[in-house]
Amino acid sequence: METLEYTDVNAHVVARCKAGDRKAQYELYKLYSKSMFNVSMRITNDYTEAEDVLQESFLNAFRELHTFKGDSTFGSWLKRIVINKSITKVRSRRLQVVQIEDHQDFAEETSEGDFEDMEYKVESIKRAIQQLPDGYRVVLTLYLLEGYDHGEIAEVLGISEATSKSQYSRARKKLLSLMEEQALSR
Amino acid sequence: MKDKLKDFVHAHREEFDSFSPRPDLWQDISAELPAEPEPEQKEEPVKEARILPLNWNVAWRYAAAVAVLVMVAISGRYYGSGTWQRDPLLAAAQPVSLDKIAPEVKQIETRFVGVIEQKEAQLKEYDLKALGMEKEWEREATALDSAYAELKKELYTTPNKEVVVEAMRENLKMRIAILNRQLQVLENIQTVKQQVSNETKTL
Repeated sequence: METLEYTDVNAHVVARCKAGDRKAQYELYKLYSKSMFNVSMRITNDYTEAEDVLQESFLNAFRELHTFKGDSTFGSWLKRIVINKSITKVRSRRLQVVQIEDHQDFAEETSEGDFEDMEYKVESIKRAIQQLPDGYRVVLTLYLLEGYDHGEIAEVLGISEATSKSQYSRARKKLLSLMEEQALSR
Repeated sequence: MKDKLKDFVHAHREEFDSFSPRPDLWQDISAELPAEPEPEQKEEPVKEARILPLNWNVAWRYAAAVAVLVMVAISGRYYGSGTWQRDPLLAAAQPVSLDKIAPEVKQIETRFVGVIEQKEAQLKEYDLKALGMEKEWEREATALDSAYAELKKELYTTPNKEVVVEAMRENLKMRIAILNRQLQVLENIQTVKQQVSNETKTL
């Protein structure tokens, strides 16, 4: 069978960055800064912190580029750095990332199927995400928006896969109820 | 279990990236990055040398045309470096008619174009295709045409019109010279052919 070699479209730009080429570094910054900023915005929920994370992440990435072996794309490698730094920011606020206890009651009380027929709107989802407690927000955005599976979430958060799954399902319910509240208060 | 929310988010993924960092953040990042290494790093990859077949008979004419163009461009930049700036919009729009900018061009064109057309008509009487000369003439004519068009464009923006007009005159003269050469070559062929046929007749 034919083996497909996975090649990053940015491979040549990355190679120039490794040589310290400033133009190439700016090219990658232009390409990724917006999406990476939004990744960090969702996790930290704070504009200033997200900017700090973005700056630290790009500096870190360019300085440590020699450790990037190309077994993933540059984009997903950078994203991992951004996510790790964002989580550190949230944790340094001394808010536990995984606060299962606090929200357990709510989660247990909500029956399956509630709010499921609601009509989704991007804006209301975004607003509800910002209202989620940190622990829920991190798991939910990693899963829903960053395309991480529960194995990967477990790895970056240092929790078990089962915890990630239950956290997501609770976060999701909380999100839908927040959206419902929004709709009613309007 | 089907996750409707997940499907919806995936379908609208782009819309979720609505924030942007401040525009000057890159300056801060760039300031903290290690200085760029010296240009020795950026060595051009060694290109394999290729030798192109060159017809010297034709090449000198291109060389002359290119030299004139380069001279015009350089002198234009040189004279204009202080006060004059080339405005690409102005060049593209060409709002003033050519008559106002350089009335002498019209004179030159009427003088030379008649001659050129006459010679081209003469040339057409020969069967160039059969003689294998068609391609060569076409190529030279196109090269001169585009050089001429370039000069004409330059007229609208150049501060020293005279040089450009002179280059245009040269271009047209060159064209006539080439046509003359071609016609001469063709005449020679013709006479040789005639001689041959005369000889065969007398035999």
